[in-house]
Amino acid sequence: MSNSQLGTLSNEPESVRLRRQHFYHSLLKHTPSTPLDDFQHLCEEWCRVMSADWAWLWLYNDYTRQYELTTSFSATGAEKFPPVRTLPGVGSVADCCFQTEEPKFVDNVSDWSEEHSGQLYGVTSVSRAALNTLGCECFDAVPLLAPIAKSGPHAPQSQRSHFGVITAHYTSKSKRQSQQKESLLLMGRLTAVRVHDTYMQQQREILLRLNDLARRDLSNFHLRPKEVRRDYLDALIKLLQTTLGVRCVTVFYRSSEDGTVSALASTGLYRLADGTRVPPDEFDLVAYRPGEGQVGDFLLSKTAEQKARVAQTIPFVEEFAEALPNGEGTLQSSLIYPIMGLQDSAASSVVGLIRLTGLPARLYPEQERHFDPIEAQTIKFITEQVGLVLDALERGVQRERTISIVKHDLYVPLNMIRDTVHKIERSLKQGKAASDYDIKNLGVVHLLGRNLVDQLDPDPGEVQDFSLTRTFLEGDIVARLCNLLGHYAREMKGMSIEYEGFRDVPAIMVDRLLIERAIANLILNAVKYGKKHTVIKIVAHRTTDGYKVFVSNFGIGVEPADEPRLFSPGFRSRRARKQAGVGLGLWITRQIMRKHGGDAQIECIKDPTVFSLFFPESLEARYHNDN
Amino acid sequence: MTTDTIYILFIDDEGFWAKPYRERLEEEFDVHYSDDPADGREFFAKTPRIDIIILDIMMPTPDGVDPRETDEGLDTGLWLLREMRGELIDRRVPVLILTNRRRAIVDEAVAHADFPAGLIEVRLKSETPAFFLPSRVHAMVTRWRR
Repeated sequence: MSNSQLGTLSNEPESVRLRRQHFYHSLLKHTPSTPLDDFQHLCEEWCRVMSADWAWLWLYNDYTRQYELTTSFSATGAEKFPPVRTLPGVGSVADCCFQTEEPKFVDNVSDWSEEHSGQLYGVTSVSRAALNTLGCECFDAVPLLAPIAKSGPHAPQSQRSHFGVITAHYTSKSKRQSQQKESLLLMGRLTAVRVHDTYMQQQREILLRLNDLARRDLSNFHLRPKEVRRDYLDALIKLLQTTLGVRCVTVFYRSSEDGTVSALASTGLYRLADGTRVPPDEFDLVAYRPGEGQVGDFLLSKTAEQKARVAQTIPFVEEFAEALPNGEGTLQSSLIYPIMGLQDSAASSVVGLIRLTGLPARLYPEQERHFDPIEAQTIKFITEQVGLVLDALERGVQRERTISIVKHDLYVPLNMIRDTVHKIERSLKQGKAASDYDIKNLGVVHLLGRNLVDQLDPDPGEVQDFSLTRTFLEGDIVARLCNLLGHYAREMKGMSIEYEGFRDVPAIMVDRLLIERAIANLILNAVKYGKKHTVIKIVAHRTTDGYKVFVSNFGIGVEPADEPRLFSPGFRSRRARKQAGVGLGLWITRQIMRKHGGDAQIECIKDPTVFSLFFPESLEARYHNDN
Repeated sequence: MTTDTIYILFIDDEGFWAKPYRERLEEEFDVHYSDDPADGREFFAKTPRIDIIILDIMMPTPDGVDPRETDEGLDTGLWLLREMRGELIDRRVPVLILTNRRRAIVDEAVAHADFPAGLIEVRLKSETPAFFLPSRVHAMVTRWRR
């Protein structure tokens, strides 16, 4: 039946009109919370109104990217129309889709619509030779169009307007009756409302449960110690397992620091080598292994180094050692879903993966690609929610780390001032003077206290009141720093600080406070990451176009791989991560030097580790030009 | 040094900042100071005389330990506490945690580790002047000494 044959309202048979009225009545009496298993009722209604022999409901699966058979109804008895997966010559539902279409029929409704030019929404019927073997001479297909605006917090995630198709099949063309096109479209829309509402209802319930979990158990997550956070993640996994009804759930998450993908939480992981269980605190050694799923750019973006690290991690299997009873599910298959991060996340929006294994039959029966589209939407929704939660948690944890470190660094000098002042008071009461040692302590406290500005003002290049003054590096900055920080280094690690070569450096125009910050940062790093009882050396050296100040120490050094990112804000090398820190010192130092037209570099990565500050000779000229 | 003298193991990596506490404690007690958590742990294992441990939380991760165990140095003291848990309980050695770490985090980790009530006490450095420490040490040791 072509579109010209569709007929009009006036010549529509009375029987058709009555059946359609019944259809409207049947659909409109239902509330938005129509349960999922009423979809068969939908097919039954369609079968009746179309006078068809059977009707199939196809819904779009976001993951397999095709329309898949969800429910069917037969008016003449199911025994005459065997289940799809037992159709002769049909290996899977996907095969059936392709057999029943003229090239782009079911797989892409939009293209199918375009074939019928002049109609925005294709409503047509096509005979299919392939269906003749089943006793089907022809069928009609009606698109299900998204019923409501796609905006707001509860809108479906997909931006497609078509999300399903109803097909009504006939054993004989003579059985078909003239249908009015607009009526069919309206029926399609009403059907879409019910399908959509069911989907939304499921999502709402899951969202409520996730919110409930978050409110009850995940409050102040970022403040909790690591092992307590682990308990909450395990609870989240159990919730996913229960909600989805799957055997195993593993969440892989990408570290925002180095981009590696490792397991965050799981219902159970076992080492391939010996079958022993991987304890939860070792989940982060279990990396997602490429080739086990399709996640697109997510894996392609891995660097060679990351891949090498992945290769060194623990091969794993998920917990499905016991055989599942017949019909309960399949052990061989697993599904992998991307976790989407917050939209404003840097780099990729894919922040992790959820891997489901041991799926129940209702989700994933024998045919690999037949996965209930409604469930697919639900899982997609869940993964998005989990992504939001995890992203927020990670941000919270990072924020808490920074706050902890800054607060620690702020309190430490305050505590020292309090106790030193108290000690001096005691001395004075006993008629003694304050000791040099205590006075020096206060000097160090003052210096380090001022250095805290680094953590509050990470970009000194933005400072407006940049003021150049004629400065002798040795007399005005280095000697004082070495005196105070030498005292500090001695007390901290028995280290000493020596300097030389500054007599050749004339007075240069610099912002004295900023340069003091830059040099102090390098010295403090040298103390922090240096070995005990070693010497920190500060050496000035004239170059062809300026002066260089080298700061060297013997300590943990820098890995070659870390060298390019060493001066990036927030970067902390793997070695440096043994100690708390925010990773801003070197970045700030470089910013300060570049503000002066110079630069900060690493000259040698280990034994000694040497950083340099370059002061261009043209500074003086620039100063005069600027003025 | 008499057998009644209280013997303190003081573990804090920042010798400079810890010195006021150390000096004040040394006026009344025997103090072994360790700026390395692993050394402190080893010293505790081989020194039965220790009456109390004063422990910092934010310290560098010891060599051979995965930094993730210590939350990259933020919670090294808590890691150490978990490592020494059995011995601390067996020997009835109380621990006075002296830290600038956020109190809620430390409290929850201690609760999670399930120590006998009162064996671990948490004090913030910002709220604990050096002169206050000796009285706390006396109180804790008196309670837990056999």
